[in-house]
Amino acid sequence: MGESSLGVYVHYPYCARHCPYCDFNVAVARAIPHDDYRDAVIAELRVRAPDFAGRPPAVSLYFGGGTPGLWPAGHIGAVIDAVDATLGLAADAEVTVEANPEDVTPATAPALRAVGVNRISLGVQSFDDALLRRLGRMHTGDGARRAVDALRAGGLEDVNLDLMHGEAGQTLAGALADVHAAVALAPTHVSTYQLTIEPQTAFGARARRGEALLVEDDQLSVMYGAVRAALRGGGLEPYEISNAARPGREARHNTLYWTDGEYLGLGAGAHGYVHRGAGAERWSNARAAKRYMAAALSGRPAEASREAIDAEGRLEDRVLCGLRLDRGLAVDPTLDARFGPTARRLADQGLLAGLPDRWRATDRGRAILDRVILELVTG
Amino acid sequence: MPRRVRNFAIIAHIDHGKSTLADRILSLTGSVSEREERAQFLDSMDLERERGITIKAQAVRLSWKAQDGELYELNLIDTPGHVDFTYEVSRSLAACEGVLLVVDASQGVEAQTLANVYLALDNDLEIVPVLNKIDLPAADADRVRAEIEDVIGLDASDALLTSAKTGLGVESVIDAVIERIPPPEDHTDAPLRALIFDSWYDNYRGVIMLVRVVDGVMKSGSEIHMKATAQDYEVIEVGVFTPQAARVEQLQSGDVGFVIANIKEVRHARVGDTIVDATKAKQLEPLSGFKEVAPVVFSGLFPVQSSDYGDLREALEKLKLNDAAFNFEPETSAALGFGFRCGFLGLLHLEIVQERLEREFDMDLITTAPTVVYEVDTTAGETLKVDNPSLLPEAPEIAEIREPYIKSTIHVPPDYAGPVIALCEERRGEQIGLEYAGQSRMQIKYLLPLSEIVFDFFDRLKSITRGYGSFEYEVAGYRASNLIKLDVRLNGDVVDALSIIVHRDRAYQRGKALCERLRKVIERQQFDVAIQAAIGNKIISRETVKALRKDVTAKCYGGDISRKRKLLQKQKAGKKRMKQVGNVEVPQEAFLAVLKVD
Repeated sequence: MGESSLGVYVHYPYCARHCPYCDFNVAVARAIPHDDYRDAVIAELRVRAPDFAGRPPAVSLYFGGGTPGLWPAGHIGAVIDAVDATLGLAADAEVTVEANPEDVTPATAPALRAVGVNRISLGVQSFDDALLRRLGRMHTGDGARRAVDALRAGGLEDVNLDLMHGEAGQTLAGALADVHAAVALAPTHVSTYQLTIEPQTAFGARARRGEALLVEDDQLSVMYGAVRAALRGGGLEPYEISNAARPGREARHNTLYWTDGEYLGLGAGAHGYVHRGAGAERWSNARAAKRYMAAALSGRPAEASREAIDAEGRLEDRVLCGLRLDRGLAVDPTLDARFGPTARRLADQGLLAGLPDRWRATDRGRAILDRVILELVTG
Repeated sequence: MPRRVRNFAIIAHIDHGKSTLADRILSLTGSVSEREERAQFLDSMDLERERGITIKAQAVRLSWKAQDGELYELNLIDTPGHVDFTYEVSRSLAACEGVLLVVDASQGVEAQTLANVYLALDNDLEIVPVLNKIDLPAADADRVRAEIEDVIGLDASDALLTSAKTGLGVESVIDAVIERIPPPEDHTDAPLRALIFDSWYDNYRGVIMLVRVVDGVMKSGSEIHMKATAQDYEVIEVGVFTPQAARVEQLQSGDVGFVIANIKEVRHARVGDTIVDATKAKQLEPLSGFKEVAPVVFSGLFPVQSSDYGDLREALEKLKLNDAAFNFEPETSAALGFGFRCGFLGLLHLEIVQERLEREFDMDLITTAPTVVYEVDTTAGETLKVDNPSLLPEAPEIAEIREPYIKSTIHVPPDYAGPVIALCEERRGEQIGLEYAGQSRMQIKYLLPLSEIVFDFFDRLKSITRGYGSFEYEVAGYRASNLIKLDVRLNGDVVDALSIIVHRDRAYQRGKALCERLRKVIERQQFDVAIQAAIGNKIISRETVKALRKDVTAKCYGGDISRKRKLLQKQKAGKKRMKQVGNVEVPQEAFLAVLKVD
């Protein structure tokens, strides 16, 4: 998991319906153009692959969305093969597909395994049916359990469960019950996101009208600490702000984001990141699926943004991402020259630990990490 | 043979149409083409256009072929329109022989108009009444005419009727300027004497002075001497604004124009000073009316980033080049570090300086609450002038504190007299007069502590009188008061920059309101922040800003990183506007919170 590792992200924008809290790039289409979308992604891959020439084979391939679980396994397989043929896929590469519980059938796991998928990330959110309804989800707690059982029965052992906490109607006991229910299913990985109210969503509009959609700040912090402790108690060690895993099962793909790894983003609205000397470059694709497809199929992918990041910016990004990890980041002379004095002050305030070799957030620092990072970058 | 020259100004209440009328006159005389005619041409700085007030006086030379067939040279002198700038107005008027008194025909005479009319009368000027906005349905020319006669005592029977907005009657105004305003007296043969009625600093030309030549002639090469500052210069250029700057051969007795003489700072070309022939400087008396303008409101200006101190000093020096009424000296605050104590003519002047520093010089500033200058007799028998609350001696060392008072005159329709009186009483005022001024207007006179009007008095007055109240004041000496220093502590430490001097009877209420206000503007931090108001060691109020317990982005994957980065840049900019006081981050607006408590 070195800093020169490469990952590939494929965005699949289609969903059966739009969740009221989600501001990801999703499209709800009556008839999903599965074939065209596959061809577009592969066409884009061929155009972009030369940017990553000379790298070792990719260590991860992640199908996110949207609901990539809606894509037929054969289409997913075609993309996997194309990545292997262009950039190369490491023999032990992590190949993940996101899915919703209601889309999982007994046939899902065997079909995905057959094309090279070895990990599933399941959007469970909660096992509390009332909360699921408030979140606009279509499955039930039992449905989620059945989905996990089906994946296991089909031979997919590496399963992540996404959970959500902090919705105003949720109690601390409710949040912990969700964690216990998840742990009982023996997943290899759990992501526990605090509900975030995004402005461009139905929840955002309700919040603007004055509705309280989140648990009050102080209770949130208690809830967050309790959720992490419960995961740890269940054998899932928290290793990032919102992620916990069985030892050795940390998400390899996501870890690339936090450790300055390069990634090639493919698909509508996907983001990519490539090193350029001491700096780097980020870009994102056009978000509208139709426009993305037309451009990609014509051999000229449409971009929504491209930004050059100078050495200073890349250094800041390393800190802002690296501190999210429980292990923090290893201090080198460049980092120390730029952030050292402030890091020592934050350590004195009990927000950072691990000095002088590493900088990692303490429990208190982690709960207010955005502030800690702001302190670091502004000195 | 009198010269075909007329020097005149326009007196009007804010919003009664002065700038619109000036624009109309400019465009009728062909000085500004339609295309150039930005709204309100005379207000040259963006800031002025935005605030709708004129800060710098300007003089424009216009040509007009009068009904007698002769070509006349008209000098229109624009004047500032705010109570903070009375002296500048009086000097601009001293450059004229007459004024147009513009009154909104739907509103009538306002107190500020009156104040300027008195200045015009003091200068023996011919006053030509103009009833503007005559096109409005609410216009009532007869009533307003009667009011002018009644309140001002001017014959308004031949008042002109105009609508500057539609252009109606503007030509007759120009004709009236020629017919009714006398030409300047001609003393071209006398030795040079000229009145400076405005000056400003130009980056390329140095100080530009607007002058009225009273005696003699001034031209490029003239050796001149400033009476007030006793400095000698050589004139490099004389000219007029048409409104573009145009060089002329000479300015002679009766003329108005600009002079450039390689002067580096406006304080060497003071408004009201007299320029005389340097070779006869000793014998020549200055023109009357010069006053040293003294700031009455003081405030600390501090850079948010201590490293910007040098830049702030440079910016202040540049502003001072252009603003003789503004002064500053270094100040050190335990809370805010190194900054400057700055003196202003009033709150508006402060706001203008502050905005210019932020806008033109890109400074991030903390401005502390404005204060007046107190006189303190100590028990040791000394008398101190205190313009900074943190420098007030300890209570046991004070024998007496005196504060400056003003005599204010407020005009309101009778319906609003009650609320205005209540406001003045609440501000510790002492009534000295209450009478009808005309039928629909009351004149209310109060002695008020200057400190009570420095804050939001004018805004409050406007709001309780729905804009119908007008206000003018003059300084009225010092009076002893029961004043004390109110301190604010953040996490136990006194923040000197937040200290204020208040009347003892109002200390408790002010302290409580101040703490509440600060609780709202100070953001949650990594620890609890205790806000206390104290008199000496006695805590009179307390609020707490609870520590921030949760602030972390839940998801941070590929696309989120750019988003996070952008947010971080925004937060960085916001944080730059915070001041670290001890371990507490205090936003800029906290230091002015005291202005907003009532």
